[in-house]
Amino acid sequence: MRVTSFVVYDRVKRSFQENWQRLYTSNEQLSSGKKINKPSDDIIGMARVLDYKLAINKNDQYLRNIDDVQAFLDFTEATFGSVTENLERMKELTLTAVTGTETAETRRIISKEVQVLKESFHDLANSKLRDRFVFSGYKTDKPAFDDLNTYQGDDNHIGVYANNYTTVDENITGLDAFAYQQKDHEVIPFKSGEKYIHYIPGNLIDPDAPANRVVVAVSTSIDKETVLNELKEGKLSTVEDTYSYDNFMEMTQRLEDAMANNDVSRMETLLAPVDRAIGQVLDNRSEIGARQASLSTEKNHNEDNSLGLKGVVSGTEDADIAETTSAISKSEVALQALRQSSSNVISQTLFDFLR
Amino acid sequence: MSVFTLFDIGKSALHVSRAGLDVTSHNIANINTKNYSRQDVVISAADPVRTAQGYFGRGVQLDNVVRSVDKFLESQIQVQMQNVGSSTVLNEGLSQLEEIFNEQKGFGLADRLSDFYKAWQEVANNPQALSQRTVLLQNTGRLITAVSKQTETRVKEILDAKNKEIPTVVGKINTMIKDIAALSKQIVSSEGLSPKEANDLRDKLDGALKDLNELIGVESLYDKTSGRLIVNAGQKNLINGDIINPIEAKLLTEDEYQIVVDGTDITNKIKNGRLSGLVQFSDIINNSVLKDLRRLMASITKETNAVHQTGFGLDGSTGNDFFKPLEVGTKDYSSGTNMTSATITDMKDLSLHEFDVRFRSDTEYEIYDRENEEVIGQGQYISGAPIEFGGMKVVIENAQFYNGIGAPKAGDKFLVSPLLYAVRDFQIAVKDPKKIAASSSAEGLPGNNEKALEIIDMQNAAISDLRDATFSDFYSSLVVKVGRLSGEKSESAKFEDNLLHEMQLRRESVSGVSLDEEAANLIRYQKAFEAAARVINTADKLLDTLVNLGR
Repeated sequence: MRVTSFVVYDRVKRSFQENWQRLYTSNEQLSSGKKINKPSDDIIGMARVLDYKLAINKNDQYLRNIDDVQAFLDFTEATFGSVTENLERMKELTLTAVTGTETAETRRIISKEVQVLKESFHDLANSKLRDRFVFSGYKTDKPAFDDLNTYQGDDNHIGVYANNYTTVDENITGLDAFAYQQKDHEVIPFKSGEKYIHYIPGNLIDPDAPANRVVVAVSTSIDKETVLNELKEGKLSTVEDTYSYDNFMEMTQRLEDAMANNDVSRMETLLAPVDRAIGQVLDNRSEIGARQASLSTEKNHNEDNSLGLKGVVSGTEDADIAETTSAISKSEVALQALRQSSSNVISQTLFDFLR
Repeated sequence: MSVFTLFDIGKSALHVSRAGLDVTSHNIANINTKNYSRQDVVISAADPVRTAQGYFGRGVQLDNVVRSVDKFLESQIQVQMQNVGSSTVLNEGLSQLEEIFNEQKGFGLADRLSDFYKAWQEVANNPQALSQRTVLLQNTGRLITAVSKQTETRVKEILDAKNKEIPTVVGKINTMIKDIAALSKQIVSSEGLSPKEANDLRDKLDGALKDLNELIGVESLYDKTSGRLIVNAGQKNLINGDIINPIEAKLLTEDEYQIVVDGTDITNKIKNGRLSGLVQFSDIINNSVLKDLRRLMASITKETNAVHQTGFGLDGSTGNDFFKPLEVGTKDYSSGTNMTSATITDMKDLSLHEFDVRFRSDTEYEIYDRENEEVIGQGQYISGAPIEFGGMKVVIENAQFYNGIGAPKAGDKFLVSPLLYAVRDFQIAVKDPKKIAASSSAEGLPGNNEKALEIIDMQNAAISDLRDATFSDFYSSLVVKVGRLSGEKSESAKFEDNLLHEMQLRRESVSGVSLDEEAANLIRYQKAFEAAARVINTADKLLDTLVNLGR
């Protein structure tokens, strides 16, 4: 190939351009710390980075959701702690009240304490967190139980996403927490077997009764049908005493009344329900414990996952500083060499030697 | 044979050496001239004289001055200029475009989109609180700003800048065509029928053709008999001897141009050159990038509204849209008719496809689905009668002119698209945070968050309008598409440029002037000139001797 002066000039010019470009790219990587500075730098890497960043972003939100639910559950759990304490105190008081050594007067005094417990139940059931009533289901703007201890909430659970696919229930409804369902008609002997205490689900007697109603009847008969029929028809013959309650507050109210009225046998019929209430609260607390456990597993998983993803994102988009720095010095050396050699080549022609 | 012959030989040698010096100086003078080809003298021995004693040379003669040029290489460069022209403009435009979707620099929508869903999550976590709802409205506002004010507006700005270049380039091309035609006329008249080339004019013409090719891909050839230049673009004559057909850039709609020569549309027939690059860029933006962006927003609007309408706000209101509902956009590519109304009849049937209502004749129309590339319906045109398809209804009427009533003709068409204004009209419809419908029932208020959960769920759902991608997947694929296009075009621009450069170096090696060579030539012709002068000097002395013989 015939080489002219232009070819040489041009080659020099282009070599400078190429070197400057390399220097610029390395410099950009060094200053941003990233090797992907725009999508076209590495489109596969870019797609991956976008995917992972979205996942990390979502994880952050799920973490916040989990924190929210955990705070809610912690609060519920603390409330249940107080409920358990109250119930246990109530059981003690009842056991004391039923002993023969107590008098009508002392029982009336105990009833005052039970009244305080009843009010405490009412307050606990109407607990508020972040301006929401905790035990009202969806009706978070209404207290769970009104002054007459009627439930005003519903039986819905508020779900919150803990990951892409799973929702976790945040709340326990007031009915689950402060009322229990009598599953079957149960009979236990009352005082050495002459009489029997019947615990009857309210809807067996009146289909329209609230699901949580418990009817208590003291009867001389052990036969369920007999007692049930008497209660249904309202003609009591074997049944000596009957009353009902819908929730813990009403149950406590019955106890309080029995103590105030010095009605020992009623007090005794209430011993089993109080135990059952304690059991129910324990059930609820273990339900909360299970939710908490699964949330903290989810949380750990979430954090591990984010950490792993961040590692991959960094590996994909971050520049290797050592490599970039050495690339920069390489380009600089090349530029220097180019300047030196080209200054020799392009400066002379034959004309310089003509006299 | 006489002494005078010596004078003649000396004179011819002087003449040729001086011509050599002329050409050498011309070369040196034009060392930096663009498109210049090195010239050289062609000399030969003059015809000898026959005598009884043999043939005697009569000196030297100058045959021609030729340029060193490789004509095949020249035409290769012309073609390569076309490739460089189009790839350069695509690279410019797409690398600008890429910056708008540069998620790596924190531009782009990905974060705004996930913030939108984060705000929905917060509403779901605390459906009764107004503060979370207000944050949702704010985050939605930021998403809208990012999409419409930033992304679409900036994409359109780039498109506008490139579109504005189209008439400018067309103007330049027309000037060039005129210059080239004039130059070729000058060459024809100056060369006449002689086989000798008008070197410098030819260089200029070659250069002008290269410049023209950079702007628009043309084929140039010379008429065999008349030697006249013919230049074609998109199978139409731009130049044919003295006849010049200027090209025209017709504004079709607000952002589309049609390139017309002599009444014929050659928009899609020009394959290369800057003008074709500009047209291609406009096509990529309108039919790929903007369409995808609009489809995404249309889909978010459609899906979110569908769920939101069935939900209940804190104030018990229901049936409300979250985003301003989609509307049908149209583009008119006809002359005798107007589309007087275009509405959505059934949001559920709306497929987010774009359709053309196009006239096969002046009485029959057909409906063409651009996405599936198929005709989905046809009918008889009656002015003012509604035409329904794909959940939409349009009405086409004859246009009223001052001198009569228009009518459709074959080839007329209307674009009917639910996407066209999806970003422009992407706005929030809910103003009152209480009206955000997080609840699935009126009874469930205020704690019911089922609709909010449903909307959050959509973030992970495969959306059929988006070819079964999720919203964020679809957006990612748009970013990747822009990145891929930009990367490809930047590679090809680099490649084409390198190729052109290699060709130019080859041209330089054939046609370029070397100062060293010219210096040597200068000495060569100078010495030859001196020797020729010596011949004349000798002849003079001989003559002197002869004249003085008789004394």
